[in-house]
Amino acid sequence: MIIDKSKLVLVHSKNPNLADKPLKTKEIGYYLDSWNRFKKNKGALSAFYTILGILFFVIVGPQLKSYDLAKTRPDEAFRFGYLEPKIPILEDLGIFDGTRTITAGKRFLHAVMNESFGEGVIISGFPEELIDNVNHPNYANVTELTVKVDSYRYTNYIQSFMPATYFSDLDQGKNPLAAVTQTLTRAQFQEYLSQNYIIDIIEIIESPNPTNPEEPFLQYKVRVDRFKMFIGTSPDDTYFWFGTTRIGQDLFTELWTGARISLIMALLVVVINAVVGLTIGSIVGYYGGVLDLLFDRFVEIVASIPFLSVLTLLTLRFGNELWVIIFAFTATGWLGSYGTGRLQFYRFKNREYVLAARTLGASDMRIMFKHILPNTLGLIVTSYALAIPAFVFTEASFSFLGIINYSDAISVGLLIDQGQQEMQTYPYLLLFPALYIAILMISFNLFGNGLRDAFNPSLRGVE
Amino acid sequence: MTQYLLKRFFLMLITFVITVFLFFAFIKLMPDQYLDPFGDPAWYEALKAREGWDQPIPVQFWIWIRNIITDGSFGFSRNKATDVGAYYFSKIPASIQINIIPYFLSIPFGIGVGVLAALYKNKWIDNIISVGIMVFISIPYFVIIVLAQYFFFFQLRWVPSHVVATASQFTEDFWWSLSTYIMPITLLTIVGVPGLARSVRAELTEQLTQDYMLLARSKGLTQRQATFRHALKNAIVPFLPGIFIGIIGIINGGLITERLFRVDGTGRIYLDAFNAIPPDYPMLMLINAFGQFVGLLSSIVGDVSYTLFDPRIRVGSGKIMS
Repeated sequence: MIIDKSKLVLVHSKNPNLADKPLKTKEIGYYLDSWNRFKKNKGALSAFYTILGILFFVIVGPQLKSYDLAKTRPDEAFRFGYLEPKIPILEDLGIFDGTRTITAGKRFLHAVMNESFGEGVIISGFPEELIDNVNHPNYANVTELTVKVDSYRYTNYIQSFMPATYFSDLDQGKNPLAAVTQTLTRAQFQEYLSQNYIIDIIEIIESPNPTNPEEPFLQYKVRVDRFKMFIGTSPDDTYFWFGTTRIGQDLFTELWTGARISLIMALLVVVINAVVGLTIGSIVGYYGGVLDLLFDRFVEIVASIPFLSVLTLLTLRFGNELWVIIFAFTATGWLGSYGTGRLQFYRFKNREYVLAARTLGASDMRIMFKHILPNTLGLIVTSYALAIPAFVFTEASFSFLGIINYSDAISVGLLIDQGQQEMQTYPYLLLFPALYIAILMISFNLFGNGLRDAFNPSLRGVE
Repeated sequence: MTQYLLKRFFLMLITFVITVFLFFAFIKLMPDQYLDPFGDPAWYEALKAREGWDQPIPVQFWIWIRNIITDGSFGFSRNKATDVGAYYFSKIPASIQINIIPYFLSIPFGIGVGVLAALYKNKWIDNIISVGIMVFISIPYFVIIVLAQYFFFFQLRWVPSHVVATASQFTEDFWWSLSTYIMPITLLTIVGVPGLARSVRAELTEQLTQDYMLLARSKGLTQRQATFRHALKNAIVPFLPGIFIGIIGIINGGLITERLFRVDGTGRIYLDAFNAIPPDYPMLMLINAFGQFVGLLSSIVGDVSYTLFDPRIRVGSGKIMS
């Protein structure tokens, strides 16, 4: 029976004898009430904002830098490996200013100090006496020195101007500048000259041109500024906020790309698990009987299979495609929401309101999804807020072990693994991914707990 | 009780056979399963006949089981050039070695911290503990361990090494090698505490508000006596089976722990078998089957120990948890 809403009128406007006034305050529903409770929880609220911040970076982070040399020219990107993190405002405070402590030969450092191209490379640690006289008697027995350098200028110096092996190569009679010399044709030379890439010309080789003796072939042996050429900025204006990896990838971009994949996967897995598990669970819980018995056996068998086995066997067979990993996570993952759904439907199916609905002739479908499900939703949904960090945790662990290994992105776990292998010399490679995952997990757990407390106040403090 | 145990055991056996057969069939269906002949031709033919490589998969499964029962052979690993069973089981002690002490240390610490937090609920002690629990539960433990390795070894040099000593180093310098175990054991103990502590705190908090506590106090017990004699016992019951299950889990080792500290244990074998090209399938088969066995065994032990520790739960009265 459907009544047109316009025909409904409040009684008190018809009857002047009624003193009751309609409530003027705003109605507070279940969700608004939960939100109000949630807002009071300061920790959860700040975690919520942190998550929003992380999501912002996950969405825009990979696009912030246009640097993609590692993909387009991996052989050249190699030159820009291990650049220290440099962040615009923090660098003035002395942290993340792109400096590094290195140990190098005395003669080499002396050359760096005295070359005009090496200006500003060495920041501190080079003894005053040695600047003018490399053979100063105070340092006669020292061959190597430890100094603090600007890693950007230093990298440009050794990649464009003078390799760190310059003097040992010179002593062995090899061409010490071989690694930084490039041979150009006349056309290339003109182009490089107009772009201002060239530092200096070492040699011009002239060979006769048989067809046109007036214009001999020219080969230019030059040194080029690699930073200008491949990154387009001078070392001072180049900022890799989180530094670069061994093969010259920008860690900032890689981190957020990996984070994006893992969060997208988390959402997908949680949604699939929820839909599959709840559907099966609700049907089994609602109808019960033989179906329940059969499913009980089936679920017992599926649940006994360790996740590790599922994941390794599937990745061995089908490779590391995204769908394989999603499938591995959902193959046994739906059991959780199956259990919740079954239990809730089992509990509510004999309530009076269900009986009333059935008496009115509602179909099973209508009872299940219109009457029972909304009643259980609060409890069910909040449990998924904690499922996302659980997924991120597992995914990071298995990518740390190398079992999950995406083809088009480095997951955060793998970044941590790579960082661990080089933490002794390049700690920032470990620090940033570790910090990211720590902050993410803490925020998600705080947020999830806050959400659960807000939706189910009776559960507060449990766990 | 016996009848219940038998029933459980029988069901477990069925589950075990079904899942292990699934693993077996899945592994046998791998595309790079069949290798070119290797080794001495006569020996290769003998191996092929013994493991039944030319038979259908169900027959091969039967042969696999028969070989285990008759000769204790779990299959031949080409990568390790030995029987996988002998190799795998020889590495179990190393895995147990690194995991068992932290496990037993973390239980009393976990309970202690949980009790402390529950007794001083909403005081500053509880707040500190809760924040600590939150942090340590949230951050993946391998991140904590890696950071600790960085700071305590590479930065501060407080510990002799960031990994544990190998067997050959043990014969060279026993005390130094033993000292390399200090950091792993401490760290693994610390990361084992928060989970238990959180559960104990929650459970004990609930028990402390029960009526029997009021009774205990009114008959003259102090808060401390009442807590330790009555509430704590009830609070710990739900976790005891988990503790037993954990002991069995130690046999399985930990992939991440062993990788972090370069332990030459079962976890490394798993990763080696996984990363080899082609993968070491006999080894993977054994490890998966063994892991499945351990998992099912712990679920039985868990169920039975529930009834041992909690007289309110009677065995055989239908499902225990639902």
